[in-house]
Amino acid sequence: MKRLVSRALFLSLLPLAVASQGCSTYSYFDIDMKLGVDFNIVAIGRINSCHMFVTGAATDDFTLSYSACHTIDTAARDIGKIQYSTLADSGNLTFTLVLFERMESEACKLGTGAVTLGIDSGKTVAGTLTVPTLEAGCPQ
Amino acid sequence: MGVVVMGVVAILLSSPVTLAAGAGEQTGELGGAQGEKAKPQYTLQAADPDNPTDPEVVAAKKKAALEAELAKKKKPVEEGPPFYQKWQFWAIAGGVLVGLAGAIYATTKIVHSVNGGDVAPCPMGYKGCFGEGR
Repeated sequence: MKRLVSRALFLSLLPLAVASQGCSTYSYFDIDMKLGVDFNIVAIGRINSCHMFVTGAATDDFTLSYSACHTIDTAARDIGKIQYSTLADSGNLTFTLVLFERMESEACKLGTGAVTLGIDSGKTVAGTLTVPTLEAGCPQ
Repeated sequence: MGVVVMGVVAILLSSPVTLAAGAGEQTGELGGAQGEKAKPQYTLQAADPDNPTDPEVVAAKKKAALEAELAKKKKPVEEGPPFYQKWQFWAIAGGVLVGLAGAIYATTKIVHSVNGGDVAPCPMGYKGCFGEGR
């Protein structure tokens, strides 16, 4: 009977023991992506692919969907917002957006912009990423 | 005069001599040494079957008692139904199972919560949501 009680106690305390090991919470980044003044309506029309690289406390990379990369507000030169989540609870994250003309290659780069933001554990940090200058793009 | 007579009668009736005589009359016993001398001596006319004096009968009785004791010892102990037919077994087993399921459920919930829990839903109007948990 005593053994049964001790086992029941162990089982009931196991979750607490697991919980005491440490807690992770998501931290969020709201990135507003913008284009520099170089990007006129013609230059915006040349953008084919938007690839984001994440470095720092977390490493990641992803490509924005075709529709997300092709519905850019030409007047405001605003690509739009994305949200990034991480379980890292300290340090900085650098978001680097690379725009490509036809294919994702070094030769077809249209522009690069970056922003570095500090992690505020469990909270949302907002930042603006601007791709300042238009590059040559794919060779003709 | 009547009152005096009644008082005398009452005193006589309540005196110890009178009471003892009365008790003797009621039980029929004889008091004093005279009664003991008059007590008759009885002798048993037949052997008492509960207390036999014959050695054969005594031995036979002892043997019977021994045999009865042996038979009592040899008699198998009633174990009752098997454990799985007892309601206590199923009550304990059910309790343990329910407790185990609860512990597993709680542990998974806590582990999920420790690992960050559910990621927030993607806000409306955003071009996309990326990162861990997505």
